[in-house]
Amino acid sequence: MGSDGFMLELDSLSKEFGGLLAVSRVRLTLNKGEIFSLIGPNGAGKTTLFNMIAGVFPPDSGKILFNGRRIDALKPNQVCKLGIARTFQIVRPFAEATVLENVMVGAFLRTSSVNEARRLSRETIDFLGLGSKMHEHAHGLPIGDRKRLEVARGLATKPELLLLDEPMGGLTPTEREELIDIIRKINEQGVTIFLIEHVMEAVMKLSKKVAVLNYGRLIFDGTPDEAVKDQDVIAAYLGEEYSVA
Amino acid sequence: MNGKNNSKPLGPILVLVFLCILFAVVPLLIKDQYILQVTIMALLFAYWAVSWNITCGFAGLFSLGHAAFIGLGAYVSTILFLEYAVTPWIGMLIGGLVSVVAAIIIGYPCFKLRGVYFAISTLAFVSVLQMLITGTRHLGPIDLGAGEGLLIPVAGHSWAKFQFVDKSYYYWIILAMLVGGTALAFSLKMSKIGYYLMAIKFDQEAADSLGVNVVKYKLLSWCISAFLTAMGGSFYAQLLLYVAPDRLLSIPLSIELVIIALVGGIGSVAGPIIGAFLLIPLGEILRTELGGQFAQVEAMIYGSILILIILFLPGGIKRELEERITDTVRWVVSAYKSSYGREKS
Repeated sequence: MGSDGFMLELDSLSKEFGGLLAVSRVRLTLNKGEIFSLIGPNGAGKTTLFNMIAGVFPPDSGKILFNGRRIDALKPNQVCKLGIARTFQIVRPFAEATVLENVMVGAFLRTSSVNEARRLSRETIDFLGLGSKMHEHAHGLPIGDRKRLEVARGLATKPELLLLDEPMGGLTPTEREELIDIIRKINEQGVTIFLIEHVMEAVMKLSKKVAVLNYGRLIFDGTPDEAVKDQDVIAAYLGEEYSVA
Repeated sequence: MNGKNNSKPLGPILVLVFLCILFAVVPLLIKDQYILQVTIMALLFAYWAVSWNITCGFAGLFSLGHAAFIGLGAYVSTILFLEYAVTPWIGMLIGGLVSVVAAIIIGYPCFKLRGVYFAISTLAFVSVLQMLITGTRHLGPIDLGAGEGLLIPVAGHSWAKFQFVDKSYYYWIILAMLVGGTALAFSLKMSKIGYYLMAIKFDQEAADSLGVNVVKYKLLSWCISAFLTAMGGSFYAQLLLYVAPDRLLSIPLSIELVIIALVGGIGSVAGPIIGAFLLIPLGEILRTELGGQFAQVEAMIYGSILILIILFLPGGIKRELEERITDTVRWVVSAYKSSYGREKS
């Protein structure tokens, strides 16, 4: 176990793509049970950071520790088994499978029994408010439902830490409200949440801690209230209308 | 996949048991050895297509190399019998295991390739194996027969030597193999493995992110498929009492399996069986009725029918049948309900 008790610890992470520094010496820590938000302009390296945590590719340098254990050399399925689930910014449902079947794939991580996986998946789907679409094919769902399906599938793997990559993208204001509510409920059940989000409203409502990434560098790490007053953050990302607020 | 009606699978099972019994009594009624032979071939191809479907239909690994497994199964059991007097029943299992080893050697490095690139590499596997066997007469003390192939001496009716004068025995054996292979395919599809293979087929990265060990499950389906296919190869060798590289290790044989599964309906358990029972008799009828009269006219007609099926039934015949049957059943039920309701009122 980690000496300082952080759930997730990013220690001086860097990643380069063809000479371009996508992520540069990023240090971040997440405490168990919190909702942590990461914001920043497009191309700032947010998804790259998620991909490294989730094991899609290893960092060029630096360490990733999950519950005190190094995970930066692991494959995505191994990371998931340890208790980190992720959603994709551009949703990737198993298109020709039903909502239930999609979620069951996630549920099978913790059980080999089809009935048990089905039971767990039904619960998760109901929790996400997709109960009436249980047997619909994923490709026929509107974007809002596909975003929820993505969350349901990850949640079915029973993670300790859930990485959400822009879950609010493309949602209507009502759908956003509902999803904010769902994310809060997931967190109340003890799941730590690492959120990448452009919708500041969601960030302000959900998290007590926020970090800002710009050109691969961390330019801010603190509370949302401090973030909207920080001159660097305003200049790099939020824009002038936030400086008044 | 499943999902609905999972609590009462008794109906379909009863239908299957009925079908098995029906098929089992066929040789008692039909004594015509030619018709029996065609039916045996249909059952064998159904078995192969079911085996192929476990890797391609379920996991999306499009293989054009399954003739290699057929050939390996046929050659291993035949060589073991000819050189070491091992009964083909044991030879069949060893052939399956040899195929699994070959499958791992060819599959593991190729799993990184996707779609058509994977298909091409499996195609190359068949070609290389065919050339190797065609060009090799002796491998150490073992006679490989080169291009002429190997003949299994006729021994009359013998269970130990897997030889029968009456074709009915071959019929029952391949029927049992088909039932076993189908049951295995069905239980795989309904299990965790089936869900994982489906996930891999649709989106590898998403499957990986949900904890699916993609390489492990690809390899599993690939090896099961290779094992079953090779057992069919051993059966084929005993049926013909002859193995030769020009047919057993050929690309056309590989493609025939693919076409049968595609026409029947890829991904489902029953699709490949339906495909085999349509295409094998069709090919046979065209060959006997039209073969040799005009230049290859039977092949042209066969090809045209294939094109029409793929054009008009792109989901395979199985899906089309299901939809028709479901529609009919719905219509009957609603007609019954409405007339019943009228009587009551």
